[in-house]
Amino acid sequence: MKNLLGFVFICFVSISVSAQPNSIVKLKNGSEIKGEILKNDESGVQLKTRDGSVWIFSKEEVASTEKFIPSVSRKGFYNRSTIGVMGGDDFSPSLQIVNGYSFNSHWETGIGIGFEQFYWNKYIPIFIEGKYSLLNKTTSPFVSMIAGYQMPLSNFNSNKGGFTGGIQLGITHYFSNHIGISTSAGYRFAQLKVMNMWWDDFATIQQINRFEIRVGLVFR
Amino acid sequence: MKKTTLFLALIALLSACHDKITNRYFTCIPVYTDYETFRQPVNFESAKTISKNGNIYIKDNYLFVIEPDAGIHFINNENPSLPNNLGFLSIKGCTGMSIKDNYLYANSFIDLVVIDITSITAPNEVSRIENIFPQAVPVMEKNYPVGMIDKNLGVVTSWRYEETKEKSEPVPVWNNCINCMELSISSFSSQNTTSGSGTGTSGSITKFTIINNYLYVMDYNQLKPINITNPTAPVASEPVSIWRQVETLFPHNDYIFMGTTSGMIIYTTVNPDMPQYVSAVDHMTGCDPVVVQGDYCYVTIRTGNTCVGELDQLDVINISDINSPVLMKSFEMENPHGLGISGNSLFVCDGKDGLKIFDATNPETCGDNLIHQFKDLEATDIIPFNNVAIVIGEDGIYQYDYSDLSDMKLLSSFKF
Repeated sequence: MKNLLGFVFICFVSISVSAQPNSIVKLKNGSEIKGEILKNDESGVQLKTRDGSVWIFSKEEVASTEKFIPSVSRKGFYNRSTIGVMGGDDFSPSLQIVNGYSFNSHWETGIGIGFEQFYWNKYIPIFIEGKYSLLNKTTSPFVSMIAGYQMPLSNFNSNKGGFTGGIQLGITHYFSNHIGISTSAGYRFAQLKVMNMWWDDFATIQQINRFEIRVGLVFR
Repeated sequence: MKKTTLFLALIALLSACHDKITNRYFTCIPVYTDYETFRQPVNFESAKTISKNGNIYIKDNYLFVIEPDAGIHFINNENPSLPNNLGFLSIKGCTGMSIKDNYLYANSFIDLVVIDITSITAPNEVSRIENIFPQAVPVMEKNYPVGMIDKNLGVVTSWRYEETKEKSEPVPVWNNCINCMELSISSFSSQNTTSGSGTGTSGSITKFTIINNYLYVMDYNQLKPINITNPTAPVASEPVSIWRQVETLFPHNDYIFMGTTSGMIIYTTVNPDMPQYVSAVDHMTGCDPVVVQGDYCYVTIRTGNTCVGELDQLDVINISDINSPVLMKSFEMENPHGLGISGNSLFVCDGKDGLKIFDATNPETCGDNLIHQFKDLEATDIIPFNNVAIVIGEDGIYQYDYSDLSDMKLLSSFKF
């Protein structure tokens, strides 16, 4: 599990670094080209764009060079896909996909589905999420809450699933206008009911208390 | 330093998150009635609404319906189109009954009571065998563990359900509840049987039956013969242990046919004080009432809450050689409960498939010869007698005129 999480984290970092156009060159003819500046001196500016092309502009053509700052849309639909691990008495893997809507630069809400496992039972969590971003910037801390139902994936006769809820504190960083990376840590609770055959109405109630760490991508 | 602090804080958080695993179950806690109060003579009360599905029994023009653990409804059924509920005989813990001549025999928790019904509206208790069913307990609606019973406190006449929560493990474990005892949910219940002059007819789900001058009662795994030659002084013989889980008794000539969870077994009552094993036909696990007519017996086997197994079928068994019964044919059913036979007509209460009537002119093909089916009647037991089928189901008692099997007419009903 630790190896898997490490691999995924490296992938996210690689994507973010490789995809990041960190500068923008504004030409006197009005054109703007985003990319990584390789050289900027008296002779001119060399710029490598995302497709690998290298552009060379003379000093006379260039109006200015600026640092690229993504302009993230404040309203609209988003998707956040994260993986995580929940620790405590037992380690549980978690995959969540949330589709939702951002009302402004701070508030957003969505509906999520995923896959989780507590002890030997596998579940599909179905939940709603509310999220508040503290800053109107490309990098912002956030707090989010979820509440929903853990639907059992098997043993429907005995496994009744139950409520799940949690709170997360994290950071989202957008490295382009449409893609960002999100990391968070928080607390998860679930109350799961498993019926067994010893006697009628004999239930084992699992109150799950877990510390949760998540990492994922945001698309909007 | 900050990183170390953060790491330590993370570890502390991780170790602070503990799951809480709890077992939640219910226990039947016994509620006692002292012996003196319990053994007050039974009362005949004014007619009451029938509220539960219990055993049915007919004798002459009367229909008797057991209200489990409470008593027996007396109904004048001289006109099945207009049955008259005469009254209610209050018998604590009654779940089974049988009648010979003018005496009604019923269990009352741990006792057997004999009631003179010469005057049907003024029955009176004439004798009682105390503590003949020492393990008897009230009907349990659910299969819950039972709290320890202290017989010094009296007779257990009801249950109080108590919820218990106790710590468990992620892999569920249960180490029995404190002060609980081993007790089977199986108790008396009843179906249709008749034998000997002067006796009545029961539904096919009964643990009471009378052969000649003996009443036989199935009490857990013991068959108890009771000499009723003198009804005012019945004498219990030594019980006979049966090695299977018996659910129903059916008398035929001098034989007792027992429906068990693992097959049908036959005992002879040539020595009435000590019935002896004759033969058996085994089947897979399931609940199975039995009826007999001529050289054939009919057995329904079903699955259900307390009836484990995977069989839902009607078995036809040839008993022309009583020492060597032969299973002739099995017919698939939905979830058959009680059954009854009258002439060439076999009636099967088939769960949600309703009441089915088969032509049993040729017993070995009866399951293929469906004459009629009442799909909207979830029947559990039946007494077909003199062209009137008395059917008890989940929601009431129904009486049908079956003189014309292709056009059975509903005569009357009691809704629960």
